[in-house]
Amino acid sequence: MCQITSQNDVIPKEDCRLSIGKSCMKCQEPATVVARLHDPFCSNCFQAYFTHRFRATFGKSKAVRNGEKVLIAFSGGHSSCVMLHLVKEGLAEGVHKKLRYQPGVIYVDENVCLEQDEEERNAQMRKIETWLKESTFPAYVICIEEVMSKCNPGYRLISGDQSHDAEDGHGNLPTENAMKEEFKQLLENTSSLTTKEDLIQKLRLKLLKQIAKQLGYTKIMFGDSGTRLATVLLGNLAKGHGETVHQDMSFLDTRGEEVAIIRPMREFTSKEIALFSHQCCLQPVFIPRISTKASRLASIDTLTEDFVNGLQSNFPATVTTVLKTGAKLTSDEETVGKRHTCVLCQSPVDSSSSASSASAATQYSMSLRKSGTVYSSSSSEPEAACEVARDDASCCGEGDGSCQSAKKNEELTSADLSVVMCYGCRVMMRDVKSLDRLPNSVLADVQRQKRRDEMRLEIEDFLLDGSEEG
Amino acid sequence: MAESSQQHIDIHVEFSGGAELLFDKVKEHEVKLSHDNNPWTIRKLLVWIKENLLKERPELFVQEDTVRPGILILVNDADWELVGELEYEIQNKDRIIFISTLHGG
Ligand SMILES: [Zn+2]
Ligand SMILES: [Zn+2]
Repeated sequence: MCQITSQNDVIPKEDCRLSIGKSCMKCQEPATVVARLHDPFCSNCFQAYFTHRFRATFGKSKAVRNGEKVLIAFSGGHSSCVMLHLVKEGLAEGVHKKLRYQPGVIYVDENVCLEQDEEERNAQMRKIETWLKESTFPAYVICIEEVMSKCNPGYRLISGDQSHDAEDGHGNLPTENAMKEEFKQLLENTSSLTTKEDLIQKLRLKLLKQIAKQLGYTKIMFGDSGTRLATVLLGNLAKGHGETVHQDMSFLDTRGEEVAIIRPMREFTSKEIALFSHQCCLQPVFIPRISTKASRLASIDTLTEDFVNGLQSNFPATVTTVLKTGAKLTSDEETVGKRHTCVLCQSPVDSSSSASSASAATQYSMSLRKSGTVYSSSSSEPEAACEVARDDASCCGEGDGSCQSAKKNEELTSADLSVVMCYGCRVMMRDVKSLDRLPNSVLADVQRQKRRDEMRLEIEDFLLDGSEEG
Repeated sequence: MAESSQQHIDIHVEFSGGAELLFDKVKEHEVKLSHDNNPWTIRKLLVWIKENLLKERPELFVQEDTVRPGILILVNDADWELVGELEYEIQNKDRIIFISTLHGG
């Protein structure tokens, strides 16, 4: 049924001498770009093809409803800039009826993860803000450390709609620094670059979903290129996030109840995007990341990226083949109705693990190590007990665990995690020394789910539903 | 190419997308290449860049005798695949741009 290796997949790149002086496949002008597999285009035809393809993804999928509020996650890179440019152009021209949604733009400031020169950073922010203002859409800047916030995350409105201003949690109050410190501590307590990158990415997504909901957006648009998604897909297989690769790379990702994700740039390779950006003189803003200038072998992500790019440069069908194959890797979990969702990434939690599954094996080895240093929270008992007392006193008393002030009221154990986190996130947590440093919102979710399970257990005998799962 | 009376060729070299970080964050470079009997190809230019412009971590820019996969090369705004890649013979006043498409730059 699934014949993965169609003949196109393994075509090596054409001998470059054959491409010299080719003319555009559409109009016979001299070509300036080789796109898709071996197709030469002149600049005009390439831009027309690119724009058409971008709009077609919206038309085909019908994922965005008329008038829907869509938040564009803007990072300053080539892909974000191209995406924002095309959205703006599409709406201005009004050519495409399917693109009549209401966009907003948001930039997540991850500066806290880096040691950057103040002046450089200010220059970057000025450029980012220029992009945001020129988009003409409502625009926001939010700091990644706001994910640690105990209440609604605060953000900065750059332009547009003022009505939500009141919700801007704490402006420039000292709490901001406290959260910065907490976030830094969380990263410092994370041992590998792989997990650091993952944690930042997962928390960034969590924060974006939170703020989108707060601001009334029902979808978030990400600028991940096909090349990037192919990298993420292979990396996720290596990291134990294999179960959700299908959702991780699809155009529409509906994990999470309120806010869905769309990825219109998945149709293009990073090369096509950079060429388009260059031709349109878009001036992307380069913002360093935690992995910038890291060795190619520094993390699973940098290694996979190197692997995908290396293959792609010799076999131009690599990215499309990986994505086509990934699309076939759906899991039963998605079709099964509601079950626990992971507190970090909102993937379904595999609670029905059989004794031989990887998930069960990991849990077993974790329980063996439990007394060791992995979960150091038990080693700081006096302190922890003290905090419990304090926190309990300040709890608002809502018994269902929704009380956000009750942080760290119970120690987290690996057994707790197995119910509230997916396998991949649990693997990740092995590199996080102190689970208590996770954001309040995550810890509150853990407690809430734990309590629901306990309550369920208590009243189980009284339930008429006969479906006992033993 | 016809014998040039010049002693050198002048070209414009540019790094972006994060590749500039390996060049002291300097994006644009005006480069004079001294003229010898062998033509300047991109292959030869890469060696020259590695020895003269690159400030750190050469393995993040060149691999074996070519550019690191994920770094795009444009010659006078055209995809280098259309001009012969490593074998392209550089001409006076050429603009050669290196764009990193890698996630971390
Ligand atoms: Zn054309
Ligand atoms: Zn998860």
